[in-house]
Amino acid sequence: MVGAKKLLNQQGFRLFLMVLPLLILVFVFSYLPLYGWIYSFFDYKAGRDLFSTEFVGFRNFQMMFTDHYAVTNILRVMKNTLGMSFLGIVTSVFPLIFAILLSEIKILRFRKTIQTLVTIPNFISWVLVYSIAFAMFSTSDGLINRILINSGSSEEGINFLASSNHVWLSMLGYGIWKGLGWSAIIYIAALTNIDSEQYEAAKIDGAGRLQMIWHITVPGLLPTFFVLLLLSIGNLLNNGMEQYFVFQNAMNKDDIEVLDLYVYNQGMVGYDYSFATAVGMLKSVVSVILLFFANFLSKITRGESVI
Amino acid sequence: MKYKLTTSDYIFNSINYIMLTLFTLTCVIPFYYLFINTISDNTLVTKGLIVWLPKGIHFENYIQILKIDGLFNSVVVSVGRTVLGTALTLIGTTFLGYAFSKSEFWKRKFWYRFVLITMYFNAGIIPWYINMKNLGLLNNFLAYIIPAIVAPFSLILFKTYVESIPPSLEESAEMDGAGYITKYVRLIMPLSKPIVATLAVFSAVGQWNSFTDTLFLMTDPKYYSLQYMLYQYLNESNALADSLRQAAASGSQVSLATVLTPTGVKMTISMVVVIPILCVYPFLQKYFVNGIMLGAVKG
Amino acid sequence: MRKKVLVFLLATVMLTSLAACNGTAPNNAESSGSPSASPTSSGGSKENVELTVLSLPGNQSGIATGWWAEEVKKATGITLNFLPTGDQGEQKLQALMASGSLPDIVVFKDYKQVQNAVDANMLAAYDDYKDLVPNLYANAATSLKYYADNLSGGKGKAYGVGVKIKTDPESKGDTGPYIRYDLYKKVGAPKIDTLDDLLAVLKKMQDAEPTNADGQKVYGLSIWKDWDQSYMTMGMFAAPYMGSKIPDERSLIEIQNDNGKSKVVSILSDDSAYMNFLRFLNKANQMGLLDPDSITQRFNDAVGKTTAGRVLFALDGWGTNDFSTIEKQNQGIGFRPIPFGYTRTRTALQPVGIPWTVAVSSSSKNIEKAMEFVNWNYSFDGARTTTSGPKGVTWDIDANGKPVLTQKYYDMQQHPDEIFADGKTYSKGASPLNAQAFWGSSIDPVDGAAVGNEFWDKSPYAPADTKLRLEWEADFGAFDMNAYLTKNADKTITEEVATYPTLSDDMVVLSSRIGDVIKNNSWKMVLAKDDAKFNSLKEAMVSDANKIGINDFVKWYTDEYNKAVELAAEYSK
Repeated sequence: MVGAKKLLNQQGFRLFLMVLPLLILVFVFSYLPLYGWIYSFFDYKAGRDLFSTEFVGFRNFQMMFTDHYAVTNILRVMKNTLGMSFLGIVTSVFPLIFAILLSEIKILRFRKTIQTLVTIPNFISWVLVYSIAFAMFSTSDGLINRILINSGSSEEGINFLASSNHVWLSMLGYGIWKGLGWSAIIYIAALTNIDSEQYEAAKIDGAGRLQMIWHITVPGLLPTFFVLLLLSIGNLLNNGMEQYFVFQNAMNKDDIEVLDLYVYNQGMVGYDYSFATAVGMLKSVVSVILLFFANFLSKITRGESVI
Repeated sequence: MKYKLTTSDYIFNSINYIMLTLFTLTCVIPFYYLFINTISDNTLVTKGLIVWLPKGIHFENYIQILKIDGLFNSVVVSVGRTVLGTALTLIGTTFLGYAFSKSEFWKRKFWYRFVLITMYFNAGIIPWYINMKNLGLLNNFLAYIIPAIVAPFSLILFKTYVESIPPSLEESAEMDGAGYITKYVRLIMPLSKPIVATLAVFSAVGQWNSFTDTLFLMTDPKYYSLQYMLYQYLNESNALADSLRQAAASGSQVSLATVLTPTGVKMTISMVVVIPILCVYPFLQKYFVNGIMLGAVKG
Repeated sequence: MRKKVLVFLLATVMLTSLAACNGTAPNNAESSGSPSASPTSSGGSKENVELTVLSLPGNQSGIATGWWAEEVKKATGITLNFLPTGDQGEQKLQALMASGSLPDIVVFKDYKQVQNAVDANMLAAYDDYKDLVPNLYANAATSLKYYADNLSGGKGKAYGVGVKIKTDPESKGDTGPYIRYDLYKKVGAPKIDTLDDLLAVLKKMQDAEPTNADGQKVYGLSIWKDWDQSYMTMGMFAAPYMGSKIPDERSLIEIQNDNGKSKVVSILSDDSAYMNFLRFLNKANQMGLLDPDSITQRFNDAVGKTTAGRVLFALDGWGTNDFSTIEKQNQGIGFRPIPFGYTRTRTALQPVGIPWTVAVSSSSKNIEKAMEFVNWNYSFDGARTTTSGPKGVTWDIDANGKPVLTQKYYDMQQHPDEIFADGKTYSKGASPLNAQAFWGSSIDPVDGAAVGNEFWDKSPYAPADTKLRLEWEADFGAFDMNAYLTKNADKTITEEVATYPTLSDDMVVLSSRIGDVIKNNSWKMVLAKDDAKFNSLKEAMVSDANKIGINDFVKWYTDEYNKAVELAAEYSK
């Protein structure tokens, strides 16, 4: 009783009580369904009582790793997954740069127009992105090949989409094109939080444009950048699959197959609910571990934890 | 304006303008390409003859979408979930984010992480469905908005933003003996307009584009959202295309010319989805204008 | 003290505000939704019952409207509300099953789904409602027996029934492969016995017409990547023309004819139709006949090219109809079927139906009414209505007691965009169920005519035959391909079974894993620059496939297939 009273006297505890309904919502919608992870230990068949189905222990997890032929494949797939995630993380600084460059545009109408138009690709589905890419790059009628053939620099035309060269980079390119404008919104918002007095003071000190950007703007955006960086490290294994699925073909497959696509290509998900659950569960756990690991790294290198 | 532009400023500016213009063009041209393909003669589109300019202009693709049964109702549902859902998300998420920015919050680290890691959770479709069913959210409009009240990603962004507001501002307000709510309403929210606008954009787009919840949770057509109707429309055209595959086997004669191709339908749907967003987004942009807020509050 | 009260007040305010939303939001939706919802739920006779349907092969949702819905309502007083499925139908089904109840009527897509639902006691047995479904028992008895014997979990009752039941062979209609007949005749119409003959002919045709009217390049054939599952799917379409059969996109075997007995072999064996077809494609590629975009393009792109007259040969109908417009056909231009010298495999009868299955939910509150609908669907009148439109409108029974298409049918075909009934065009008002009881060629014993109108006697209102068709008819001595094949029965064999084994989960995974190797190497083989490269890729493919276990797959399939043959013998008349 005394303890409870003490707690209630704490400001922080009352703040907690204030938001408790919201935390309950999180629990109800995000934590309650996790009981479904139990399905991964059974040979679950929808409609039947769980305990009337066969208990299989860790078989579904073992399936992911034990296939003797799969080992070389998994190494290749992990290389693609981590490679492309890494490139994605390295280039996650692009939206920040883009936001800064945009803010340097002083003609307001021009800036707003650009800011709106660059978000468009975000809303075009990958299937359509592929349609556009096909219209641009196909061998027989693609725009680029028509130019190459007409100018005489290529006779047959080049099959760009079936090329096994620079697959990672071209995938990265499509990804950046699609996401840059959209991701920059966060930084554009964060920019407004930088105290304009700092710029005034810097100007009086005679600082140049680039100096101001480097010493005032960039530090102002870093907290947001680090948070996003951390979150993307948690997503290291989750490249998604839609993009890679629509772009894959026999020629580029060795370099394009990321984990999500591999699991799909191997026919492992969709047929077997328990196995799909096992994959989902494992990925959730790995993601959370990666997240805390990244946070730990941040703590020892930068001296502060992000989450 | 106050100080003279130096040569390096000019160089920087020209490069900057050129680069951004070029990038914007790469974003707009494909969109333009999709657009001219949706308004050109479908036969020419199928043959791959539309590249730079539309030919045989018609709006049949759009008219077909307008003819979808129950379209008006689905627009009402979509607008409703977007407006209500976004409003509730903003209130719930920003207040929770604000609370988490307070170091005195009881067991702050634990609770913050408790919310944050749900971003990475993947429980599977069956438990999610059963959970929603148990909560009575089947055929219930609330299914669209209640689960979205706390959005972890938005919460993180908001908390980060609030933490970068100079604490001195809040301390000065605390002097007046204001409580959390007062400070949140009077001080934090006005200062956070840019990030709130950002979160509004994210949440609204998410609500506007979502259709899987309709697919699984709603059986009563009066709750069908626009995106779901479009998704279903696309499926129908895919099914027609699939029937071509079996056409010879069953001896039936399906003609492509009278059927809208799935790609054409996809393109049209893209337009229908993007255009409202492009219309609304500029109105939110006034909150993104640089560095005026702090000065205003301080002054 | 005051602060404490404030905190609690706030907490309650937040909770009540949530509760308030609870109360108001649905009202908003309802009040705004009702005006537009009313037209969809119009009609409303007293007897009318609304049933919910989950159709996995179907692709529409909401309350069915249009001429088909009107006919159903007229016949049974039932309105059907289709639940959303789309490409996530399987998951939707699992979610519904997990939550313990299925909608009134379910159309499953494979036997495994049926088996699971039977095991979970979620389906009603037709045997318990025999009086309500006389048509079903009269017209689909074999299928019911099959379900009772094999898919009842040992209970011996039929919990489902197959669709597209085929009791009679097709004697009319066209089948692939299709060739640009005008150009084929232009180069002298040489006889095509083998794939090599075909290559030579296509080359001549391409030389005769290197570009189409719009100046775009013309190819011998154009294929695509997006249908591939466990191998290059084109092989499945080519196999029957070469006397073989690949049952589906996941089965890595061919069923070949060995002196009148069927034999299961791996698709990678040396003399398989699949391997021969890969060789053909490779040669076509080396000769410049294969569209270079084949490896990257999708079905739509290829069909577009066919429509544009940029393709000379197609394994199936894909876009050939759109190129061969009536006007072109009257000038003698267009695609027509072309037989090869190989024995042709024709599909078997399937008295059991395909694995798509119509079932009634045991948790339905209107089981009787649902049974009534199934009974209508399995009547010949119902089936003809579903495929050809309302009786007495688009078709009718003529003086000889045979069904015949009316003028109205051809008017509708002339003006497909006109409103047909219930505010919808004919094609939009068609059945969203996608579960026709009978295959078009199945014959109604009462009047001796088939279900599908393409097998009926020619209507007096039918348009005149085109020049192209008459030419073809004169050349081959038959009106269409199926008539030709029926006439030349010595050059055809018919499969022993129509319903092939369903792959087990393990086999699906195995097939995908091997398929990964086969798919990739097949494409690479097709694009190989020379025969040496082709052969080395082939060896790599075979050895990798062996390592992963294609022999296990073939063995499993052979066993299951032999069982299926035994079963088929039992269930064919």
